[in-house]
Amino acid sequence: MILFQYEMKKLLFNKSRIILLAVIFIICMLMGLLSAEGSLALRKSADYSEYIRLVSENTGGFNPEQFAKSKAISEATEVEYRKGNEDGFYMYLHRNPVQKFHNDYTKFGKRVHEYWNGPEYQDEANILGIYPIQEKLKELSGKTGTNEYRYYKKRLDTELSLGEPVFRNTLFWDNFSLAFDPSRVGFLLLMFLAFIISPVFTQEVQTDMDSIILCSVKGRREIVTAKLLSVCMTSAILTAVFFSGMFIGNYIFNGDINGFDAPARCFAGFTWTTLDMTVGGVAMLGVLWLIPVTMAFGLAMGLISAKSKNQTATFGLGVAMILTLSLFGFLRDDLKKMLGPLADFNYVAISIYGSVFGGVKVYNVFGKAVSYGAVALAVCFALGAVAALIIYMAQKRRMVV
Amino acid sequence: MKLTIKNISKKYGKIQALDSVSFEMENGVYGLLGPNGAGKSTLIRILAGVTEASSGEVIINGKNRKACDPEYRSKLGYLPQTLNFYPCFSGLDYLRFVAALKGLKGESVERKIESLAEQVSLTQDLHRKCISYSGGMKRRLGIAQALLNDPEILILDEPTAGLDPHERIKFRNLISVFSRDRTVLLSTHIVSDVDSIAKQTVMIKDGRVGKMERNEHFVDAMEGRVWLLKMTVDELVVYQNNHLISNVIPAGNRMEVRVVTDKRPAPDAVAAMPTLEDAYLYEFNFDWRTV
Repeated sequence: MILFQYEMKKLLFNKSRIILLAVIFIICMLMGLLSAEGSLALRKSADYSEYIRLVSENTGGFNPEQFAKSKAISEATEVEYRKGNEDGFYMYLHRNPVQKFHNDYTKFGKRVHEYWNGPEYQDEANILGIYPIQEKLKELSGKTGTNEYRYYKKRLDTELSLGEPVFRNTLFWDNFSLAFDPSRVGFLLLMFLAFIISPVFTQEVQTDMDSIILCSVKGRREIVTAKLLSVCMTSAILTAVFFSGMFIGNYIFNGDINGFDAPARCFAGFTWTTLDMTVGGVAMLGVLWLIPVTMAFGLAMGLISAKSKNQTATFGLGVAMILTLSLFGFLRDDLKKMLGPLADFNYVAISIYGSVFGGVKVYNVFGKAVSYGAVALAVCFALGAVAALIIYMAQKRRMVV
Repeated sequence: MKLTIKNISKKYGKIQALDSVSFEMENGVYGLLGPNGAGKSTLIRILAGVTEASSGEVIINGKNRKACDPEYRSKLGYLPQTLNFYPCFSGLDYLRFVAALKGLKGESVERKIESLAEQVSLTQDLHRKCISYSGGMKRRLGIAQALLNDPEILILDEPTAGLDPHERIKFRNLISVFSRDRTVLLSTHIVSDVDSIAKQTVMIKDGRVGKMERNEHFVDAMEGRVWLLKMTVDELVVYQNNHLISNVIPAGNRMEVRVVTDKRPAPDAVAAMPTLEDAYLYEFNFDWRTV
C-alpha cells in the first residue's frame, strides 16, 4: 500500500502532473463546449420556444401524420440549403429550430421504418428489422435446433421487448455522445494516457534508482504490483477527468440534461443497440466501459516502458501504436477480414464505444453467438493480464548493465 | 557473516569486465581499489544482485546467494556509483519509499530515518525536494538509504565522491562504528578513505584481483621502495617521464620529489615512510599479469 501511494505520487499526484491534469480537464471542457455549439445557437434563436413546443407535443410514439408533414418540409429544406456542406447545414438547422425539429422527426420516422423493415442495405450475415427477422425465422422453421435459429429467435424477442423507437428531446446527449467519438477517445484520451504512463518504469532507469529497487526485498514483485495498480488508477482517473470535462463543457452550452430517461436507442450511434437501459445509463456505461479499456492500454504502455529505457521512445511507440491501430478502422472490409481479431479487438477498436455496444455485431465463440461487447470485455481483460504477466517476468529477470 | 566470491567472471559482448575474481570477506571494512574501468562497479553490482555474473558464484555462509534470496536482499545495503532522485520527492519521501522497498514497517522506520538523517546531517533539509540538494547532500542521502535496514552486508560504490573533507571524516566515522559486526565493501578512488577505515584492501585491475592484503601489509611491503630526492623543475620534467612519482613539494628553489621505485633512484635519495597511496601507485604501475 505504501509503495502504491509513492508510485501514485511519482506518476500522477505531484505538482507538475496535477497541473497537466487541470490542463487536460480544460481542453476536454473546451471540446465539450464546441460539441454543444449548435445547442447554444438553438437556444439563442427566436423560434426556440416553438421548437420546445413541437418537441413536447410529439414526444413519444410514432405519428404518421406528423412524419409526412415533417418529411415534406425537411426535404424541401434540404434541397434549398444542403449543398454538400454538412457542417453548414447542421448550423443552419440549429439557427432555425423549427426546421431542425422537422429534420429530427424525419430521421426518427426513418428509424421507425427500419425498426420494422430493416435498413436499406441488409447484411445477409446479420439481418436487421422485425419483418426480415420473422421472414428469416420462417426460412429456418425446419432447423429450430440450430444456433442460427436460436440466435434470430432471441434477436426477435429482444427487438419486440425493446419496442418501436420513440421521439425524445435528447439534444444534450446527442452532443455528449461526441465525447465517445474515436478521434476524441483515440487522439485525446489515449494519447494523454500514453504520455502520463510512459515514465512508469523508464524513470527508474533515468534516475539510476533501478539498482536500489532491484537489490531490495520488494524490488522484483511488490514494486511491479504497486506500479501496475498505479497505472490502472491513473487510467481510471484520466478517463474520469476526460468525460467530466466533456460533460461540464456540454452542460454549460445546453443548460439541461433532458432525455436522461429516454430509451438507449435514442443515444446517437446506438440505433440498433440491444442494451435495455436509458440514454443516461448508456452514457454512464460508456464511461465505465472506457475505464477497463484505458487500463488495458495503460498496462500495454507500462509494458513498453518496462522494456524501454527512454521515456520519449516509450511515448513515441505509444503514439505509433495508436495511429497504426486507428488506421485499421479505415481499411476495406476484405483487408479487415484478413487481419482477423486484430482489426476488431485492438486497443483503439475496443475503445470505440458505439461500435462495440451500439449495434448487434456478434462473434461465433465455440459455436455460440456472443455479443461484441462481451468478447471485447474478455479480450480487454486478457490483454491487460498478458501485459501484467510479461511485466512481472521482465522485472524478475531485469538486470542493470 | 562470511562472503565468498568464487571465480566470478563477467563478459559484456567481447569485453571481459571480470576474469575469475575470487576472494573472501568476513566482518569489517574492505576497500576495493582500482583504476577506472578495472571492473570494480561490475563486481559490486554482481554482489548487490543487480547484475548477473557470466560464471562463478557468490557464497554467503556456505550457501549460494541465489539460494539465500530474499533473505540476502534483506541483509543488504547498497549505494550505487550514480544516484539521482525523483523530482517530486522530498528527502523524507525518498527515505520512506526506500524503507517500504526494503519491507520496513511501523514507527521504528520513522525513528530510524530521524536517526540516520541526523548522522548524515540532513535533518534540516529532509522536507526539501531532493532535486534541490547539492551533490554532497545527495550522496549523504544515498548513504542514509543504504543504512536504513541495518544491513549485515553494506556495499558502497564511490560513497565519498562529492563530499567535502568534513563530510568525508563524518562518513568514515559512521562506517567505522557501523562495521563492528558487519561486512562493508567500499569501492573508491580515494585511497585515504580506505587507508583510514578498511582492514583489508582488494586491488583490482583489468578485471582481475591483483592482491588482497591487510593495509599494513601493503605498506610494509613498500619498505625501501619510497624515496625522497631534490631536483630542479627542469630536471623533474625529464625525470617524471620514466619514474613513478607519488608527490612533488616545492622546497626553496628546488622540488622535493617522492619517488616509488624498487632501487635507490640516486645516491642522495633518502628513504621515506611508505603509505597505502604509494602501495596503490606501485601495484597499479606494476603489471602482475606479466609475472
